[in-house]
Amino acid sequence: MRSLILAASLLLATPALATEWVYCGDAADEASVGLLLGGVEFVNISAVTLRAGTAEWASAEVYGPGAPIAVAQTYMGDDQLVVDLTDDNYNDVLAQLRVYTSEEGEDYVQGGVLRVPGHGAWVVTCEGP
Amino acid sequence: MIRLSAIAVLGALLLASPALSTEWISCAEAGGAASFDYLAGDGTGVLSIAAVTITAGERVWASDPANGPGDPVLIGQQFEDATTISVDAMGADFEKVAELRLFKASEGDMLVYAGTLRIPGMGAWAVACDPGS
Repeated sequence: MRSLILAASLLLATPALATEWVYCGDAADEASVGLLLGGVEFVNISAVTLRAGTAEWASAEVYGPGAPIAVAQTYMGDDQLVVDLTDDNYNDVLAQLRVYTSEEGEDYVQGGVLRVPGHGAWVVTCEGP
Repeated sequence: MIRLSAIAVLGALLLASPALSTEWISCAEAGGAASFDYLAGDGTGVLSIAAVTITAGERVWASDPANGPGDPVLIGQQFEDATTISVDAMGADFEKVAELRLFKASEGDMLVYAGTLRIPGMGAWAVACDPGS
């Protein structure tokens, strides 16, 4: 009985591994990227969507329409979010997201650039998590 | 004759030197709540800022009164490479007045600079820049 209580309390004490979307887009809504972040500190990308003009990509059908896309490399730290997205064979770069984050008082902002080769480059701001 | 040759060589050297032009880079929050403009030299291969003007709400800082009224501000560390620009502006006591952090991206004929501006004690904003005005 005691071991059951201990096991239950351990399970309850385990931190929840929540996931949350971060969306980055330009003011004219011409391009956007969505990143589903998870893990204890939201540094693991478990899904991604990308849109540039009428072109769309998604890492799985459940996340939206479009061609397959994968996360090639990512870095989150030093007030930066750096993500490169490729096709699902990791052959061609489909998008480069480069965002700075900054905090002051109650302000928390994320701003940077999104480059989609063959489509364009945009100023983007992000929201979440 | 020797003196004339020396003058000719000096003249040729001066003409061959790269032009050190300057241009204002204007960065601002979309709603105009804050801005960071800097006068950058071009042609040296590194970021060389000659003047800076910063606004946040009703506050204004200017490194050179010729560019407009404002509290004094100094140009602190400055760095630019192929993909980033970082500039810090300092007050008279070398306290940080503003921190500009930008990423650059280009595709086709599109060139964009954007990132964040933080002004300690006042706020932080996402900013976009006009790269050369």
